[in-house]
Amino acid sequence: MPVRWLLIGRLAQVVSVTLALLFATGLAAESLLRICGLWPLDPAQVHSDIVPDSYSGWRMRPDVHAAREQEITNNFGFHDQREYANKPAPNLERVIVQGSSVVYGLKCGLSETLPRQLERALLKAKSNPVEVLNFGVQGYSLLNAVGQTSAYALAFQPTAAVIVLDIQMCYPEEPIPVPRPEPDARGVKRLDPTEAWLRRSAKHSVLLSIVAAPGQLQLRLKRLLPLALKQEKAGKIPSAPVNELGTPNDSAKTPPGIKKSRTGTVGNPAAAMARSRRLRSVLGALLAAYSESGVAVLVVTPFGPYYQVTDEVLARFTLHHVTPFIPEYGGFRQAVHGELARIRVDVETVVQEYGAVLVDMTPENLKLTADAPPYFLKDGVHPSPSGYSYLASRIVPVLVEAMNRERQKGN
Amino acid sequence: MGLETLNPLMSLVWNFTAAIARIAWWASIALLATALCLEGVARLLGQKPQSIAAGLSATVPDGYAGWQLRPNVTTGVDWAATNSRGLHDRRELQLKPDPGVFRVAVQGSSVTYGPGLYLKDTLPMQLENLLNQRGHSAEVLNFGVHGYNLLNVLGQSVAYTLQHEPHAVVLVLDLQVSYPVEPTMIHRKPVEPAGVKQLSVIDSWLKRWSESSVLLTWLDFPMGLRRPVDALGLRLNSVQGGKFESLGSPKANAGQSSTVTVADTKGLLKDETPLSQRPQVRSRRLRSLLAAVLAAYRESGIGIVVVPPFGPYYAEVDENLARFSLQMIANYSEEYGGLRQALVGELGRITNDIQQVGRRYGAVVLNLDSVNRQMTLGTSDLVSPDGIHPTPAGYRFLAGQIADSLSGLPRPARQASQDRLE
Repeated sequence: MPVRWLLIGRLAQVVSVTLALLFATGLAAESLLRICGLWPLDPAQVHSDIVPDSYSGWRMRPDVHAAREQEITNNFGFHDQREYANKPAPNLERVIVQGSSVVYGLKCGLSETLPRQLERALLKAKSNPVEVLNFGVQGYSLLNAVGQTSAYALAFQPTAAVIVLDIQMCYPEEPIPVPRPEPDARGVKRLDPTEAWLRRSAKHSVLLSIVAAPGQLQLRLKRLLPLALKQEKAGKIPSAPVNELGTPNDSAKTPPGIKKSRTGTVGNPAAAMARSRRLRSVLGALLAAYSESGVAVLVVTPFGPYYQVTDEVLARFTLHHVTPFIPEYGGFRQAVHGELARIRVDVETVVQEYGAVLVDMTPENLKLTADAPPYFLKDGVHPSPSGYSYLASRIVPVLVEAMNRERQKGN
Repeated sequence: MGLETLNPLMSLVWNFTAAIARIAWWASIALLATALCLEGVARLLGQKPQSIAAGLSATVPDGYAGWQLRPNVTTGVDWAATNSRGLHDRRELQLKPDPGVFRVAVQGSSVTYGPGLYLKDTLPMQLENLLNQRGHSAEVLNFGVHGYNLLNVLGQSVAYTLQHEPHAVVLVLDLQVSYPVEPTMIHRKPVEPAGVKQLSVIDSWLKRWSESSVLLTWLDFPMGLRRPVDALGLRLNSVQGGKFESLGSPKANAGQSSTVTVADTKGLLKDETPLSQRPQVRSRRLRSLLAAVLAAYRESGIGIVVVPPFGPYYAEVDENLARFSLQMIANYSEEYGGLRQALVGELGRITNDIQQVGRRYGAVVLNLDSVNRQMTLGTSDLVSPDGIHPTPAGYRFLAGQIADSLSGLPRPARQASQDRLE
């Protein structure tokens, strides 16, 4: 009996000392890492940068006060440092810009995003104050935008809304029509308790951050140390959010059916009609919601260097939404051009029907090359800061006119 | 003090613990035996454990429509049944309609769903029977979901209903559907949509295990005891007359308001709209969302029939009116100076908005005004005592009105632009 108790006491001693040593080592390592300039990860880096939503599928994770401007979101989840009231201040006109990561502004400083550049240009062009809100959410299609508009955007009482349609936005998906117990939000997965605890704790500790997201350590060390750990691939595009959300990324790099077109005509009118019907229905719903609320709406058609580039360059663009239609058109280039033409006709028809204003980027698209002028990132989808600047300069005159017209109608 | 001196104390503790363990062991055996006997007797009396799908919430969260009906509820009771697509139906349906079949989708809240009724008495099923009697080969789908308002209906339309390729859609806009909520954008925890709540670990354990045991079913749902007790000739409590509690909608949405009143910590969401302008704000919201739903269908060339609120809201006595499930109207009593005035005022506003927007988008809007003005609970059997949900006779009446409208639907404007595309 006494021996047993003594053994238990000794074992307890060993365990306590080991734990104390581990804790002290952990603290020392944590301090050392912090002295070296490493800090715990931001929530958006540890978790997904989007959160599930009951009406729009998903939206940006709110309250991300990250060191990198690209990840910052405010209280509402807008890509912005400023906080907004639901209702605009008296005499302040409010414009909201909706779309995907093209509106959000991937790889851009906040001041270089489209909404912020629009705001600066509008302030120059208009006599009264105006604010522009960034409603861009990564991975969005028009289906998400309809939910976002009806559930949230209208409550912000905008004077005008700018809908930026990149190619991804023009393919509103059809979710699986079978209810599931788990909410459907692509890219958002439920963590097991251990993983969830680890990720939550990672906000407070560099060591745990490294355990939770080992890839981040390499990135941070690379930034910290002058040594290159790995040669960065030239031309490697930061993956578009839609790819992070699970859509096959490789389809854009190696379109399976790249070949010269024989006819260049649409091979399956019924399928194209079905896509048109879906696009028109969802865009119609979006424009009708704004139209009934007396909000001026501008719709910007897809903007990109899709004509004056070689097949090889085109194949590198993130245009996987078009890839499934290659058999219909007889080639990737033909599919891109055919779908762009179809989308333009559909958008123009619906825009006219609901009294919105079209900003057609087709003339620019026909002239643009991949890097002259350097308006786009290498993915061919996301504009560069100068691309956003050009886009803002195209939108502003039309927007000012539309806002004035809507104000006169209101009066 | 050495360990040896603790020996008498330790042996006392050991003896005491052993005694407790012995008692606990035999008590558990006795309890298990009793429970097994009770379970056996209950099963001999014809009782069955509940189905997990029916025992849990009737709805599941959804990323576009807020929530949907829980699919695959195949219990014995008609009023809880859903098919694999989460539609209130026992039939399994193809996504696309069969050639030659006239497919109609009926959307709305529990008023469309038909709570507490046999499937054959619900609005969609009565409409289908009527259309088939008139020589159409019709298939009417019940898209009604408890607790829905227009915000949910819009999400359901663009995400799911359009995929089913209906030839016509019937939107049943009861009072609840006509007040689309404005969800707050600020959330730091996952938001629970109305009618869907997260169970605690114990609750969910109990629900899951109740599927295998009558006793646990009774523990989870004590009202289930009523039937066997009644069968034995005893009465626990008389069923309240006139209390019409639907499966989800009125209760689930009690306390919800159509205006944003959720006070955020920073005070960003405070509603400062003057009282006199609030009806306009509500109208704008209703019109916007209704227009969006109608536009989505019009662009797909689908015919639309809109059913405005249906109920005894004008001639009913105050006593009955106060018992109606009209929480959404009660919020505006202050604006109008009383519940009756608010009801009449809001009904007028809603009906006007629906008619104007419906006309603009080529929908057929039923005119139920004269019926509503004459109807009372005492003189009519069309609406149940909650003032919201029609009775089987009320659904029959509505089905007749809708069937007439479906046959006279104008050619949708969308067809012209489709032709242009071709």
